Amino acid sequence: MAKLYLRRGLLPAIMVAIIFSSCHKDNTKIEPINVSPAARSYSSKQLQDYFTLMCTLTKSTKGFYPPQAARAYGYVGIAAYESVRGGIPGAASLYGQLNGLTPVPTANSAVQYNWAISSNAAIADMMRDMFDLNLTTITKGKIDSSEQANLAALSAGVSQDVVDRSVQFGKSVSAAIYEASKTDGGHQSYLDAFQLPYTLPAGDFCWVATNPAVPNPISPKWGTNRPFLSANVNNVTPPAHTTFSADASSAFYANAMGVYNQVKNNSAEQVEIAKFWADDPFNTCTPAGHTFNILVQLLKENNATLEKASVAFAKLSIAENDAFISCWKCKYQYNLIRPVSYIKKYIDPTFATVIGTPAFPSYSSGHAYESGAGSMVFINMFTNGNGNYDFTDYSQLQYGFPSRHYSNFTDMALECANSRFYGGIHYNEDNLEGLKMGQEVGDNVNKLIVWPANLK
Amino acid sequence: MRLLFCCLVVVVMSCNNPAPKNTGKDGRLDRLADRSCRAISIRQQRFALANQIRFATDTLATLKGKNDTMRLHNELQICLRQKDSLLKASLALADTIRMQLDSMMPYSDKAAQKQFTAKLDSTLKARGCEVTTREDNIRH
Repeated sequence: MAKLYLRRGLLPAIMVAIIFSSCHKDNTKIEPINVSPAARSYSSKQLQDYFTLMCTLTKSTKGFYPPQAARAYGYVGIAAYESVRGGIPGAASLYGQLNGLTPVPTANSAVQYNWAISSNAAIADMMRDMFDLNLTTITKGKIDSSEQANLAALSAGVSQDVVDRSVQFGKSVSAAIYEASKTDGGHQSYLDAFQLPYTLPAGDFCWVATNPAVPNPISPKWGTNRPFLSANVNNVTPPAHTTFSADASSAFYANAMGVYNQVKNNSAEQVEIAKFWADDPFNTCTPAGHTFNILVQLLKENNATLEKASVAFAKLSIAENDAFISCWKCKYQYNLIRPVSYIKKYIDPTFATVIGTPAFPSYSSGHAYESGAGSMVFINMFTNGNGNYDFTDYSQLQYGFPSRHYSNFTDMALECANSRFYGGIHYNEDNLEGLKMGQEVGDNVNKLIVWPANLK
Repeated sequence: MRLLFCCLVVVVMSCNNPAPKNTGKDGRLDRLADRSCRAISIRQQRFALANQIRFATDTLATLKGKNDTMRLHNELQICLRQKDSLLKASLALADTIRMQLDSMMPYSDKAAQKQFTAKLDSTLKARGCEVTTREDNIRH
């Protein structure tokens, strides 16, 4: 009987065990046990604070119009993710997944890192790099002092070699990503936001300056920048807008009349919505900054760890950066005249908008694009896919706006898109198509990149 | 022994007396409301001034080379200077409000968050500051 077991069961089992254990030994050499505490064991407060500081820098740094701001947020978010990726189970590098990203240093899993310290070093360096030449002594001092204060707090009880290694790792990650950023077309674009010389296309349908003090449109070549995901530019292509016509019986004229009548009949609430979402550069931290402020609040509400916050910021960073490139490509492909210029010329020369018209073509709406993209990230990160979330946006209280409440992220994005129609600065079509395109951008970010799951 | 016990109860009760604690919270809320009121006022001035500037620049562009526009031009320069000083005031106030809000807002407790919002709104309303009714948010 014993011989039978040996022959039929035990012997093969012993052989399998020997083979398995030898395989296991080999694997250990390739993938050593990760000795660092996981990213989910750290608070995300410092990360949230850095993105709040991003808002302050965006408002107060010369040259940071909406596209430039979205790009700066974009690279900071990527640096934040890559610097803690080694501490997130199943987190793949964005190298090989994002256009133009060269290999990003990988942490050595045989030695210990403090991911919060790595993140602190990476973000501070990337912020200095993104705002670089236009930083003032005061704004640079804000980054430096945040970095030093965080490092002091995070280093308590951590051995010096872990601190040094983590700082060094964070810096090397940031340096690699910054180097890659130099070739995307937006490097130091804050020095030349109007990208002159640029010849305005001529024609009745074409954009003309809406403010004599700003005769040139902002960043006309931004659409040729390298997106993080090619699909966000190649596959996200808004349909052609309604054919331009000055004829009072045309569909285009009707669109303009739609804007005119809306502005004339706005309710007090609609005027408030138009102003709430105005997000003027240099008064606020631009539309992308508003969306990042919303994310900061969502992370606070959910007590998100460094793990979840890093992934959320990376997703939103990619979405916002690409939404602006995709939108700007569309804007300068069509070069469509703004409603205020059309209405003054063909309908009513005394027409006045509720808020100022930004200096770039109408189709499609940047706000609609970016809020659509952001909403898809929020839906993915904070809901079961239906978008339902009881949310009150407090981020504009600082600028004298009462908070606004939403029960669904899609509703919030739609309100943001519609705000431009109430403001009289976009045709409704700009907003509806922009929102759809932005949602596609956000969806691509969620689906085309391998993201870690089961985040805390 | 009984006297000692009574003294202890009095001491404990005075420590737990909610009145001073509430006064502290209310004091912080009052300060936040003060600043928010100022921010609302600055915001209204900012948008009104932006309208004035738009009107003046539009008019100047229309009248270019036709009339004596010196007066309007001077007015525009005054508006632009006002805009700069309002912007500085707005940005400085924004940072203070944001930090104060962050230190007071119970972000992770929805019920407490709503309570806080309602209290802030009623304080602002009592001071005559503009508040939009949340229930009036437009649904599309």
